Amino acid sequence: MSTREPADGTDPRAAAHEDHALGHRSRERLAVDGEFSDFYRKNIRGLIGFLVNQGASLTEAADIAQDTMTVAYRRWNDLRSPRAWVHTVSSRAYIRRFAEVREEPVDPLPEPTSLLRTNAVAEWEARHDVLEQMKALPPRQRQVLAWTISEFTPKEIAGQLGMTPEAVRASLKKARQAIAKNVAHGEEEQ
Amino acid sequence: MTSHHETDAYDPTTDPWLAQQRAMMNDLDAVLDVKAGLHEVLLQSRPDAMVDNLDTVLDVEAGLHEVLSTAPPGPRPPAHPNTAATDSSLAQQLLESVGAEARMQLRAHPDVARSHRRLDHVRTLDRIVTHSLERIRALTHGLEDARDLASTRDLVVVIAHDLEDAHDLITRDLTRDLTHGLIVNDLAPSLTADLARPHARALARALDVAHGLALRLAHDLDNDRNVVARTVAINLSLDLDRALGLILNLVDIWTKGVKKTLSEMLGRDLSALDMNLVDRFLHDFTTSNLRNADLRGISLDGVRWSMTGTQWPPDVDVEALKSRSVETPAGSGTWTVRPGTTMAEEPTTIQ
Repeated sequence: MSTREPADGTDPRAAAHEDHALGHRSRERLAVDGEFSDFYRKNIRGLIGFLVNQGASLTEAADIAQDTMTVAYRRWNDLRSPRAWVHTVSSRAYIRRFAEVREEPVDPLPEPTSLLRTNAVAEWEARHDVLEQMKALPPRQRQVLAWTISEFTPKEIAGQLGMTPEAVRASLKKARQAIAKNVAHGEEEQ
Repeated sequence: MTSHHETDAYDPTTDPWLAQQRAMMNDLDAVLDVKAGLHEVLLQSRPDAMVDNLDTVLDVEAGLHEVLSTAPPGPRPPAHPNTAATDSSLAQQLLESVGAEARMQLRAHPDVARSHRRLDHVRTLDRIVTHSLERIRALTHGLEDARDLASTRDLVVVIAHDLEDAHDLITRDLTRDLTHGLIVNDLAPSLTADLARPHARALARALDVAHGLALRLAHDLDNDRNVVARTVAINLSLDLDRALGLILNLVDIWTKGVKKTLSEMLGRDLSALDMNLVDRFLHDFTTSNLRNADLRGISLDGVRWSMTGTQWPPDVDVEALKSRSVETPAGSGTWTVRPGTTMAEEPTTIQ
């Protein structure tokens, strides 16, 4: 059954109702865009740093972070802890990509995201030898340290990585010792 | 998530290394164009707005009704339909170039058998989790005004049961892998198993969480708390989505594992084969001549054979084999041997 007037094919009341519904959706979308934009501006840098600390190149990190943010935007209304969510999802995406690259090293490079000023990447990577120290750590220690630097607690990290908080603390301690040793060794060489 | 807390071991005033870390994070501003990046993500808003406007010209319910009343659900389309013909001819070439007897022997190799069994399990998990996710998504939309919560609750209990089975399956595989390592004193576990283990552990955890959430959902529905139930259902969907991601990783890893072992044994590069072709290589004996094959001690689990195309050794009792097989699809004349069917060490019988 239709309530539409047959004369010109439109019922003013139905049209007004549809306009109202569309207006409501547009307002909702604007609200989501505003919330998400704040979230993105506050977190994108930290998310990329988090991935770089796990061993990703800057280009990979920007690419994964941007993909993750895109999914977060689509699912914005479903996310309860978006910051934890983007860290978990991007970390998983990096591990997946790492596993794929290990076995198939000939994939073409993806189109770079506009987030990254690609001409400055090499200089940036050369500026930070702290990354080399991170890369020298065993994967688990590096992972735990990356989560810690991003200000997640041992308990939270334990939940994300399927470890006990004690094991997280133990890994963290080893990582710190290894880095301290590396730094001392570097200073001796100088 | 909390901010300053148990990173007690880190003090920016005393730890120069952490200061370097912070400097690195701050220096990211030199290489990032945050405005451009945000614009890139928000651009998606435009197609969505366009989709909203489509509501003014579409009658979605009528269209859905039309589709549901005419088209039964089919199998998933192949990942790359345009390459299906090429893949098929590649598989055919491979099937022809490696004899059926050799393929039977390859099936018996422990590494191939183990990797392939894991692959089969993961594909089973894929079916269970995909099905559960589809059902949860479907019921989530109607939860807030659901009138028949009792039947929805029953459906959730079924999903919880499926997820428990899925969790048990992956946990058994993990335990078996570890036990196997201990029994054979395997000091050099395979790269494939090493690669798969963290994903399998994460999957076990995700399925455990999913099972818990499904039970919680059933409990909330029991108590008419359907608004809370909706939140639980959304979390369950996210968790299952995560589980599916892990399953895809495992499918990929185990497929590569099987291909790697087969490539090493045959001395040929099989990297171009996809999962379905690997499956055909190991299981499809529907046109094979096995009359002179020695099948003693070889597991026939999952072997596909046909009454007219497969030629068995004289000592195989085809009627007995048929009783241990399932016709797939019914009436096709093609049979799949059920699990647990191994040719006896002495000829003439099937265990």
